[in-house]
Amino acid sequence: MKLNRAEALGISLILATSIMAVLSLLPEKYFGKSGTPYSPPSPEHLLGTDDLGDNVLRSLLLGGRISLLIGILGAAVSTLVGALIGVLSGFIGGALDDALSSLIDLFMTLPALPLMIVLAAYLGPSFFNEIIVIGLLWWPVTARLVRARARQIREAPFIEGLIGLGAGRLYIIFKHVLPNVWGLVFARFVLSVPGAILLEAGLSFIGLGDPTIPSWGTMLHFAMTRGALLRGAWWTFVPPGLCIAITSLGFTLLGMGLEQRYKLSTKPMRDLL
Amino acid sequence: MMPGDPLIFIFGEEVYGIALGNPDLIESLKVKYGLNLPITDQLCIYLKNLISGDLGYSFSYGRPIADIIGERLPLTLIMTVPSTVLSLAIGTILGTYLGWKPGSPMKRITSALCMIIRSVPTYWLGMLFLLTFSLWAKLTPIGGAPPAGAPLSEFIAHLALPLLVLTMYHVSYVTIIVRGLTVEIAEEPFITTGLSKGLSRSKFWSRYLLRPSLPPLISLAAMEMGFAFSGALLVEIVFSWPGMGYTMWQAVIERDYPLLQATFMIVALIVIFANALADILSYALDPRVRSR
Amino acid sequence: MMSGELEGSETRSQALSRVLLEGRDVEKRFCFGKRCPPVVKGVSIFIRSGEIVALVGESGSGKTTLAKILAGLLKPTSGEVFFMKKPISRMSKQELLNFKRKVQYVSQYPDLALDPMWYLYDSIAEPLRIHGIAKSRKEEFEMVLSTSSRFGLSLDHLRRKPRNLSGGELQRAVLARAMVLNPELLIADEPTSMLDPSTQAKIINQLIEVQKERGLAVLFITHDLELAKVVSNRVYVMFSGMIVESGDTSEVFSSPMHPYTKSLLDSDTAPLEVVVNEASCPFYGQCDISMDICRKSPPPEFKLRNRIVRCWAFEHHRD
Repeated sequence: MKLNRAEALGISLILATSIMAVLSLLPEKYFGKSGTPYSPPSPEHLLGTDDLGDNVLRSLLLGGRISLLIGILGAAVSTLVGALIGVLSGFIGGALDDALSSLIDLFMTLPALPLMIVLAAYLGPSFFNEIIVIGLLWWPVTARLVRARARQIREAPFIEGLIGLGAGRLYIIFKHVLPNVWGLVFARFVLSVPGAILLEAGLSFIGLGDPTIPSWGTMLHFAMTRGALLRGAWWTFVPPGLCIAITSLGFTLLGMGLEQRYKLSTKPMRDLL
Repeated sequence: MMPGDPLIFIFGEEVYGIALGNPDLIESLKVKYGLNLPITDQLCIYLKNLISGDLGYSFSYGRPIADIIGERLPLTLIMTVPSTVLSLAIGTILGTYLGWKPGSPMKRITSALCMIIRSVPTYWLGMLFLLTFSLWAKLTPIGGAPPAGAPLSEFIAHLALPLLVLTMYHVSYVTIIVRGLTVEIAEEPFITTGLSKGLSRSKFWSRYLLRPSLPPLISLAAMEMGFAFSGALLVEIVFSWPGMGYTMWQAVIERDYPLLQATFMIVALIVIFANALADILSYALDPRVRSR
Repeated sequence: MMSGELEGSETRSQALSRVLLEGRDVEKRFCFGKRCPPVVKGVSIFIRSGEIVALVGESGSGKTTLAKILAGLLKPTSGEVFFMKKPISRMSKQELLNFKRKVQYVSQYPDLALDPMWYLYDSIAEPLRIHGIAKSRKEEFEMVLSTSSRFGLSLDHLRRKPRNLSGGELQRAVLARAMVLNPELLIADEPTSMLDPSTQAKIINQLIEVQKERGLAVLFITHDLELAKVVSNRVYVMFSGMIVESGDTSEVFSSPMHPYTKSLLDSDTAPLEVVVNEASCPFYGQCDISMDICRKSPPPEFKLRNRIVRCWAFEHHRD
């Protein structure tokens, strides 16, 4: 399977982050030593230590695992919801379509981050809740695109042929519409991950992340609130931010590459989203 | 909608803690806030209060919420509006330039840069800038906003960094979108025919490039306002800029739910309004959308 | 044709002349905003078991719409379609399924007629699976292979997906899929008009062979008069949404009665399909024997000996 340039770049970045996540599984003695707080990077502590004296590199690796996990799971939930709604709305049409379309429009106009903040504040910070919140807010874009595609499929001659053969609607949806929508859904999933990661980081930054499982965003939060920033301890927050950026970029590039492959982009903004 | 004892969310955790020990107090508070009335009545009262401008009372600040928002909202606006305007202006020009004849390495690099900036969390960028410009270079103050009545220069000094961060981020976004639009228009057959017929460059630009891109651009502008607003929220925290975002953050920390709800509602309303404006504008200006 | 086809106490000729599908007074209107012009008007048509009936007309005459209505894919605005004397609109789920098994529709556009993500084998086997016909993988395989090969498809073709096949091969697959259920009536809507002439001829020949073998009834829709003449027993001529003439093919072609049929057969270019012409005879503007009554009221179908003609000029010729 030949990869185009965007895909290749994207995958390599993702690989880099994944390696980090895997490395985090190593026992404490690797990268784990603690030392005096706020010590700058040195051969002993490759990325220095934070305000508690913990090794920043270690926190980075652990945080990577969390951020990636939440990002991927959150994106998965939102893509699934969006795809389901999109297929039903686009293929079945009629009143259901009207109702669901209005729902999609409604959710698209609501500002994601503030809503997430409020929801997270009410539901309480936890791993599970974060995923749900991300899933609930990111699906409209996927739903829109999937709906458009489902409508196209509905008009295709082979669907009529299937009805003529006696196939039932649900059968057609599962066996024929979903497989033809899959490429789009997968590309959407990949492109949703950066958004999910950024959302999670934003939530954690505010302090609504799960404190028991610190992510990169949480590291930024601590750097802000515990004075690392004001002390000029750049090594406590520059690495996590960079990692977020690299991971986001990786998934975005991969997603763009996928879209190119499936020639899905009909929108003028061919190079992004 | 709200889990747990609703009283926490009405009073805020502090007061709730105090009230717990005193059942009479709880009862009287309940009556005062109409919690013993059916839900529909409560809703009516809430809406009535809203319209008359009463947004409730913040327990962590000890002041009516409307006052707080009245102070903070303008500060957020001072940051978002100029940033939106600037980013639209710069972004459009940059985007058109990049999209017109793509391919030169300089342009590729700029496009890549835009994409990178977009992948980075805005507040992280803010932290970076704060570190470099405020801490190390000591060019700008570390954060906060100057009190009212302070000279304009001080104001600008405090505003500079957050504005810069926001603008950078949005310029990238606008640039990429405009670039895409330009690329699409540039590929249209009527452009090549026009060029081959020898139309003068400036006439060309205004007539054929700007005119069709104007409607989506305007609706983009309105949408950008909405985005800028949500984006600004986190940046404010980094720079301790006391706007809506900063307020929401404080509300979260203090578990001051009434304040959180109210600020969210105002922010949501503004964003929804901006989006609605975008829809209306695109409908009025773009005949293609109308025929849909 | 074989003794197995007789039902109960039917004689052989009765079995052969049993009416499979009949449309009575079928009308279909499509609405564009406020206007709802009729695309099919007052059409009565029937097909008997085992016969090949041609439906000829130019594009715009409404033949595809009529075909889809007869196949049960579209609902008529008024009128009724009967399958084995039962009206489709009042069939139970079970009966409808049976109807769909016995009557198959094939369209003229080969691409996107099959799911692009499915292998050809599965697309052809699908009807068997939907109706639960094959009792084992092996049996399914045999049925698919035998039908496919009748239409010139090999195992190699079956292994591919639609994008790796030519138009001709795709159309063969569509036909194979329609035939794998062994239907009693095939409604073939210009099945070869999108293909090159040599492929057309091959496919038509294969279709005729299968028809002879299985005693299949065919409603063959085409604008190719030569093809209709060679292939069919009876013919219906359609113009502007109405049947203007029908009868035995050889007779209609040797002595056409309706002015439209005459001009079709005479000249190289067919008369234009005029769209707006509700009240009077649709052919009025181009007819050289038109009379006053043609402008004022629409001609009904006049039944002559072996012919039905929808023209005022034949009012006094009927039996």
